[in-house]
Amino acid sequence: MADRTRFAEDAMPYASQLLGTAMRMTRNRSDAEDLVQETMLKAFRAYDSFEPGTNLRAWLFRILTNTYINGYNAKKARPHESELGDLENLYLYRHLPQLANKIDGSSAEDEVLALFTDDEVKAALEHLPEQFLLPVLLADIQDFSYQEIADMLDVPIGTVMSRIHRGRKALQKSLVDFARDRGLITSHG
Amino acid sequence: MADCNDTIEQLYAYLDRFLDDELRLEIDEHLRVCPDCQGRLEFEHTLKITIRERSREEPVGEELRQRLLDCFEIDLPDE
Repeated sequence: MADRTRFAEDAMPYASQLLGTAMRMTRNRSDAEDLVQETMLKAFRAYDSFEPGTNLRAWLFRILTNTYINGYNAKKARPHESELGDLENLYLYRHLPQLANKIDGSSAEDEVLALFTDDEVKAALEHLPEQFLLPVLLADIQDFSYQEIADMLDVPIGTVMSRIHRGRKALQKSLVDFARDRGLITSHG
Repeated sequence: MADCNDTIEQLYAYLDRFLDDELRLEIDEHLRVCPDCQGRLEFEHTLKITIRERSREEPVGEELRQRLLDCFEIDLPDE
């Protein structure tokens, strides 16, 4: 069994990142906390097999991902990819002028994006179809490389890439839908 | 040379630095002369950063922190 103090010192700094990702995976705090606890416990028990000098953060996220896949499917089903319809390039970008009008025409992109609440951003992630969710979380939120994600999910790198790309387009579609619901965007297209 | 359509098609792969050298250089060349595509690239980059900043971490409360530390204290039999 690994040394408790050393493991806690090494691994605990990543707990908030693991929890952030677990929240998007399970969509509720109680399951997310259980998922992080199970991940940490598995990591602790396997810590002797961790090669010092390799990427501890990637190792922890690999355990998190596998633990989620093997037992924490979100209670509410996510939409299936086929329900999304066409996914277009630059979908949100094309709606920028309309959004900019809502803030006195300021075209600063970060100001336009500030129109979206944190809850909307999180909901857009959480509503991604299951097969896009993990690649997008690992790439865009946790900054892992395509190769690291391919290793974690055990799928070919080309598959990882296309899921990330399609996932981003789906996420933009959700954000545009939220903006439309709030009347920030009125036209279609 | 790459045009706007090629650049839009490859925007994500370019952003993620996942293009081979030849294609990347062609897109670089197009970006130098196309403010529209520069704007598209910049927006996708800003969006990625914004989403990351807003959901990367979730504060671990004292209760969960303690729960995690406690679970390392329990000696479980080997599986």
